Amino acid sequence: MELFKRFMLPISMLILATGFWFYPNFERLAAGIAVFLFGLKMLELGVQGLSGGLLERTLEKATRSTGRALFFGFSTSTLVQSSTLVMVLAISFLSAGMIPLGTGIGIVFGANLGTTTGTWLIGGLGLSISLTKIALPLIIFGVLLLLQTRALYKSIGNMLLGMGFLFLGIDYIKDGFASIQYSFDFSLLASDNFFDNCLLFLVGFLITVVLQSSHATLLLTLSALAANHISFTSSAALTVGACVGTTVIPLLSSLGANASGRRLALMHFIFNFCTALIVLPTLPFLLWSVSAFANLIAIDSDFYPLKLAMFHSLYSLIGISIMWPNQERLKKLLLKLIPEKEVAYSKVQYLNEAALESSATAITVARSETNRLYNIANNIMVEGLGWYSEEFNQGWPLDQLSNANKNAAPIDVQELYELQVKNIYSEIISFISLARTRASDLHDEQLRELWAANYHLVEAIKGIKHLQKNMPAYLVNKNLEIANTYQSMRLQIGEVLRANQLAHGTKEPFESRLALDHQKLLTERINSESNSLIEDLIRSRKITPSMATSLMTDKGYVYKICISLITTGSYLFIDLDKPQADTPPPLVLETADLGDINQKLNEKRSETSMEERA
Amino acid sequence: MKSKHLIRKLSLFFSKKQRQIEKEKKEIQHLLQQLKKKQKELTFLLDRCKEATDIQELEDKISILEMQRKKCLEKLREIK
Repeated sequence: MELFKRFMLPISMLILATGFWFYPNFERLAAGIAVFLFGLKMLELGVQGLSGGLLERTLEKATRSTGRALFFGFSTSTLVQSSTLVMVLAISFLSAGMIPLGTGIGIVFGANLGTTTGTWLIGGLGLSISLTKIALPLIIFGVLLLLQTRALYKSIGNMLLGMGFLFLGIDYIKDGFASIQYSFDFSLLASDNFFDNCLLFLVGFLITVVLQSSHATLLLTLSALAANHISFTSSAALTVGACVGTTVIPLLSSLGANASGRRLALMHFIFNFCTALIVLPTLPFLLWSVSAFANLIAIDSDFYPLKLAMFHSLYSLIGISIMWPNQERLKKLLLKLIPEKEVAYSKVQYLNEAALESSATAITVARSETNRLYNIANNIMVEGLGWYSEEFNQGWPLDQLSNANKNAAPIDVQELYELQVKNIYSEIISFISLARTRASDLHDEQLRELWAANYHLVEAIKGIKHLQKNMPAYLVNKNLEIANTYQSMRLQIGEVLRANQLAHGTKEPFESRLALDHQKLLTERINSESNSLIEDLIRSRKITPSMATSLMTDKGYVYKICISLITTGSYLFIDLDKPQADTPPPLVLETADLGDINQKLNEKRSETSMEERA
Repeated sequence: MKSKHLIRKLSLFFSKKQRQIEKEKKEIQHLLQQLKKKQKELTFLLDRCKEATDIQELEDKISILEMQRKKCLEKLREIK
């Protein structure tokens, strides 16, 4: 992708500069394309800002059936007028494991159909009336709204500006074609046979790859068609080329994604390429059918732009009708062409550059990768504590877990950290840092919290590494007092890990928060009681002074590990839609609040035990 | 009574701060309801629980909810 971008920019600038030098009339047409593309970008920005991550949330929910996914693909690509953006989002979500391949295929179908609405609008309305009259007020209102401080107004401003520039671009292109009719020999684009159609298909393909927008190619084609520079057959061949050309950008974006993402990008290409293979040889028949249908619904026989829009929709419908019954075969083919490779522990699975296109997608992907890192870290910590991770993850009661250190040497937490965690951790941090540069305030806070979750997780692993110095030996020490104390410390960390598992599995934020708050309360209680407990053990000569110093140091580590794990859990597992900074203040329990609760509970419990003794 | 209600509605319409206060008040009231419901649920479980560790856990959680409810009421008083 980088290489492609590096070469494309200077080459296209050189071609444009040469074009302006030899054909001054070409400037207006090029300016029209530039303004149109700028308008598309602004419209995309406005819709994204206005939806506030709604697109991404809906995409996640469009998993129930392929029909729903098709509807989602159709409506979103109609709304943002960019099938490429919808595809890039779908690739990122599939890469992050948020949607299955079947849903992705449905989105491909829908996005292809949705992108034809642009042709209908431009072909039906855009070329028959002067759009500048509408464009200028839209731009003025858009700028006024853009100058406001509220994000909502800014997004509406972006949308209005986008539409204004789109309309202005269309008018510029229309005028541009009128001015270049004597400078360019359009007979070169005439098509009489299948070979000519194939050449025009290639032209449409290349223009779309260079402009990175099938809409721009279609607008150029429609304008040339409306000005009678090209025939209906030529415009249809160019349209087919544009449809295949639009698959190149998602295909290149998917190179950084995992196997699932690459499969969907390939599916997008297969859909359009196979449809083109069927449509190109049958083009004369299809165009005759379109004309016959147009006559049937009383469309003027020379209203070619609208007929081209009909042909574009027919192209997508042919693709869908061929692919829809063969979805299972397609899935098998994709799995065969791009097989699932087992991702090494040390490599990231979900992060991909395409996800940086949208902040909400970047958050989803970063969350999936952090969850994966959490699972890896959980296993390292459990084994570092001397348990078997399989038993722990199967939900065995903590006091019944086998002691792995009895038969084998303790695992090296530092080595496992270097091998399995460090690389993923640094990749996540770098991804989040990049994503934060483009994020809104709300998304920035969510990304910051994910960053913090990763940091605290690594701090917890480091704490376990420090515990390894004494814990394995003291757990099997003949002195039962020290062995039991270390066992209770180990159980304390185990309880926090279990609470995080519970919070992860609970969809209700209220329940997750309560589980983690309970662990916070216990951690503070044990921490405040630990000093007097150690003093008692020394005074009663149940442990040696050297044991006592080790115990004091390790108690500190256990406290830090528990707090780090609870913090990680609260950022990762409570309410995925909102940042924790938005938690209502009364629900946030400070250390003083926890101290108060513990004191009251202690008093109550000692009273009860005294009553029972009496 | 009706004019008082009307004045309140008008002040809400014109003052952004007032609207925010109203919103915050509603949020806390909703939160209080949720906390109360959960506390009732846990108290019900506590009455039927016989295991010492489970009793302790339920008591801890009820105390947390009590503290959060107390903080909610304080915040509500502060707003009023």
